[in-house]
Amino acid sequence: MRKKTAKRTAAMAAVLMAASVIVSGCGNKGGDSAGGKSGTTAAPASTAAADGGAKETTAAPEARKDAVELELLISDDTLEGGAMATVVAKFNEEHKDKGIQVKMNEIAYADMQTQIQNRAAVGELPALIKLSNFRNYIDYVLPLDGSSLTQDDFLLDVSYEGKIYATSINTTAVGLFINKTAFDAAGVAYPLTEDERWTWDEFVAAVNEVVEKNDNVNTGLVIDHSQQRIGTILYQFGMNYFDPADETRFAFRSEETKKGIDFILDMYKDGGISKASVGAGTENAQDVFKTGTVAAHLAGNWCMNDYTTNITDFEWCPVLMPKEQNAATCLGGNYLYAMDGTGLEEDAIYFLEWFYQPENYTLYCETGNYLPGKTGINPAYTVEGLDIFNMEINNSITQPRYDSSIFTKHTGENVDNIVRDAFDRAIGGELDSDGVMDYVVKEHLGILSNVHE
Amino acid sequence: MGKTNQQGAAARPKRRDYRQKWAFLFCLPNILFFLVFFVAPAVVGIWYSFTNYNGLKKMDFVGIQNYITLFQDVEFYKVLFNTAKFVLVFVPVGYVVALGLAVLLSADAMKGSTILRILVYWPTLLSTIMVGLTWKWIFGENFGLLNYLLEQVGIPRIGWASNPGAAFFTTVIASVWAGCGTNMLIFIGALKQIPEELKEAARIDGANSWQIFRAITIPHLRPVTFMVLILSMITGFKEFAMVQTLTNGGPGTATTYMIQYIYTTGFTKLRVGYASAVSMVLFFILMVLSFVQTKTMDTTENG
Amino acid sequence: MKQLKSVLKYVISFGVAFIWIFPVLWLLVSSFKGGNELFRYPLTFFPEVFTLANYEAALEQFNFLRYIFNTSFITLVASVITILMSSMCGYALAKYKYKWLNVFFFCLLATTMLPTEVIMRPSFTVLYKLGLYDSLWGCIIPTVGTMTGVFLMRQFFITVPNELIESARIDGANEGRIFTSLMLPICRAQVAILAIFSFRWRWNDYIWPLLALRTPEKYTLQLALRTLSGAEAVNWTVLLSASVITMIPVLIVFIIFNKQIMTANMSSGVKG
Repeated sequence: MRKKTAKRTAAMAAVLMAASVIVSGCGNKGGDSAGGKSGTTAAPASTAAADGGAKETTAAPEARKDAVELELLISDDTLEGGAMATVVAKFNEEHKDKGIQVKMNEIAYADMQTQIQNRAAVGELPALIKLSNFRNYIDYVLPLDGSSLTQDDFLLDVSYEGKIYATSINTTAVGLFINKTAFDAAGVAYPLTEDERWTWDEFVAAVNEVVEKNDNVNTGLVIDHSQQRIGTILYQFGMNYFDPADETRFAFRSEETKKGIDFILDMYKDGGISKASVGAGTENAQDVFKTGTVAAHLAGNWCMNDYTTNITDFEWCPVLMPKEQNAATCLGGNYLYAMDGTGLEEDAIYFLEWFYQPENYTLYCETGNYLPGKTGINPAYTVEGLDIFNMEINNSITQPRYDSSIFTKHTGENVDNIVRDAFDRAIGGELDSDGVMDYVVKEHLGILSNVHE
Repeated sequence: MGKTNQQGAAARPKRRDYRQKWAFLFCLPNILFFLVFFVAPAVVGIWYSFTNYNGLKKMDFVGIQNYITLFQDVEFYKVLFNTAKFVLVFVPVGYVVALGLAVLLSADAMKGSTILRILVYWPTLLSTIMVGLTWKWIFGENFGLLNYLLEQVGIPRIGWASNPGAAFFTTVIASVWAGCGTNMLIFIGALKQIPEELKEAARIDGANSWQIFRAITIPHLRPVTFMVLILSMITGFKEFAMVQTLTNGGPGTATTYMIQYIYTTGFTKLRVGYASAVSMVLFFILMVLSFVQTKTMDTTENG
Repeated sequence: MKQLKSVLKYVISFGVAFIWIFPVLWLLVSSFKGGNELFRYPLTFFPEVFTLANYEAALEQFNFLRYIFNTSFITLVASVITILMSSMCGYALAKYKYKWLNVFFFCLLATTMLPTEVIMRPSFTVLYKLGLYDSLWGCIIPTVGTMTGVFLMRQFFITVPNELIESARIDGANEGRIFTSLMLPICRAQVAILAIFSFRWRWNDYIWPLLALRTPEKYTLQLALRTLSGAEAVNWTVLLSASVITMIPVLIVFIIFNKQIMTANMSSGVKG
């Protein structure tokens, strides 16, 4: 009998549990938020933290100064060799007794947007963020005009409405990798200097020869599922997003663009040199290249680390991309920036200034084999071949930069990946080259304000 | 079923109140949960669907603009059709496979049935990322096992993700594979609860296995079958993460299903308001379907 | 003849199971391959060089103990609450007949129709207002009500004869005691099934941890695993080995509760 009563109590307890748990959750929260707001006083030395302060009143003053902790929200660092972790460790070591520390919070790239949006909504943003985009969050980003950093220090456009908001922590350039073993076995030459560049037709002939003469190679080229890669080819064919003379005219529709689109779509047709599955994003081009069954991969400098570690069955190397009308590459990159309203703004700026001191920043670039995003830095890389990408950057036409500077004027009007989406449909047989242009133009004009065709 | 309560109610009205209190108490945690974690977010979602909210600061009331855009979007109908087609194939196939496996593996007498059950259930234990990953090495067009085997026997490779027809079956196969263990387990649990005496009696009367299966097993499984079908249907409509890794909704939009459409047009493009409107429409469709199913079930359960 | 039949059944069963499990085996074996072998073509099933380096890298890279503790805590607590809530509610829905119960059942059904992915943002707002943000409870409380669980229990209790309850009532047992001492013991199999489900859901869940947590020390295994897929590249070797490690606890739980499902005997409950 007693046992039964006990069971009943247990059932009742479940009801209460649901309620009590919410209450206890509230309790936890209260404690946490007190801790989170600990650093609201900007000057590092004056922060007698709320979280440690109560318990540690007897501790030495030096210990209490550790209260300022800058959270750095980041993704991909471990994956790319832990460069930021290395530099942050250096910072923390140097600032061990100075009352300021940086704590990395590494999350998945795919989770960045959700995490930033949610934390912005409830005012719990981290002090620092490293991400490939800062303009989407511009309302929450701290302007850096109070710091010693200026737009001229950085290779990418990091300004908004005339003020510097972010720093470009690294740049990426689109480029071409080849299966060197297969090219050598077939006796096909590849361009390493400017005057050796292929035209796209010559490139097709070259990789076809490589495929023919190597039994294990069955695909000429794989391209990442990426707007930037497709855009690079289109630029080489002479595409513009915006009229060079009139930034309100969307000039995507043209004979050159159509030629480029047709060329790309031909690559994916039966008997073409590429794979529809890769072009539409179901297979990762980087993984397919690693099988050794592919002659070339249109990607970018970030593949270097992965290939260096994970390809041993054959030799590979970056080469110059083909040109049609132009030599062109698209510049991308990541940004490091501070958030507004965290109460740690001055400390965050202090970290940024420290980070871009040549010694520290060079360490960052060398550890991760990154192309610098700051001017005047010459890292000594551990992997060979990165200079090919610098050649691509230096010899590229300026249209990609011009277009991206106009897109940045439309901050908040999100047109990412429209061209890629159009190609997904075209490769799937739903659109032809005119359809691609229609789709791209219609979507852009629908989103961008004050732009006409 | 209602009879016992009616009797009690007529005889002792107080008893009825007392039982109702218990019924309410039993449901209370779920009622609270429902209000807090479903009604509240859903109401907020409905509000979003009337705004141009971008997930950050911008939020203006736009009336029914999102719904107008939605119903004028050709792609929306295509995705709706894709999803319906997927559900129509996925649900029956999943049902037959799960029941078949359950019947095959529920016999205790068979040695090793435990191990077999573990093997069949195992895929269900993988997270969605893992399922997508696993099938990449099977259905991969360039480094996948199936195409490799086909090539070995001299059959041309199949575009598991780049051919619209094949891609559709890729998503069905992988979804059935990943979800089947769950339903199998529910069926095994239910099969174990069919009194052995019934089957024994039928066997003595000279019924063969198939007749026993039809006359005893199937009717006994009816409540469970209803549940499995309705849950599979909802799962089918909500298929997302795995398909995204497997075919990325392609080729083109051939295997783009509802949730992926909501997710890509909405959240990755910062159109939370629009995405909320699509969600509400999907919600409405599912409600109607479930309502119809529940009605048909009520008649069978009570009949 | 009969022997032949049973042999055939064996062969078929094992054949089916083998094909069924093959993709997972592939994964398992691949986790012992080096990064240079993973994408090698023509394919090889067994690793050329058997290596534990992936596992070493995974253990070094992740604070597995911490993540396992967090994930286990969430999983265990959430599963217990889920089972209690579901069986109570399922019982009420099956064995009491009131109009509002029907309405409530349909309301519950509705909850499955808005996937968390699409109401992520409003859900986050609720979670924050309840003060569950950045607390492990934030991954527990919002997940404990599950329609599948309630449904499972309801459909089971429907098959339980009413006479059983009626006779207990005549004996003077109150409703609470009928539930705890009469009903709970006979739904052992369903509890076991739900335990397996709930364990798997919570263990593999990443959406609620993603919404609820922001401090690295509180992260769960799935959140950690996701960091291995980056913007451009995926760290396949570590992802494979870390996934295999995270799979083991769920497998163990399945084996334990599988026994429960198989030994639960409904008819004895009815007779008793």
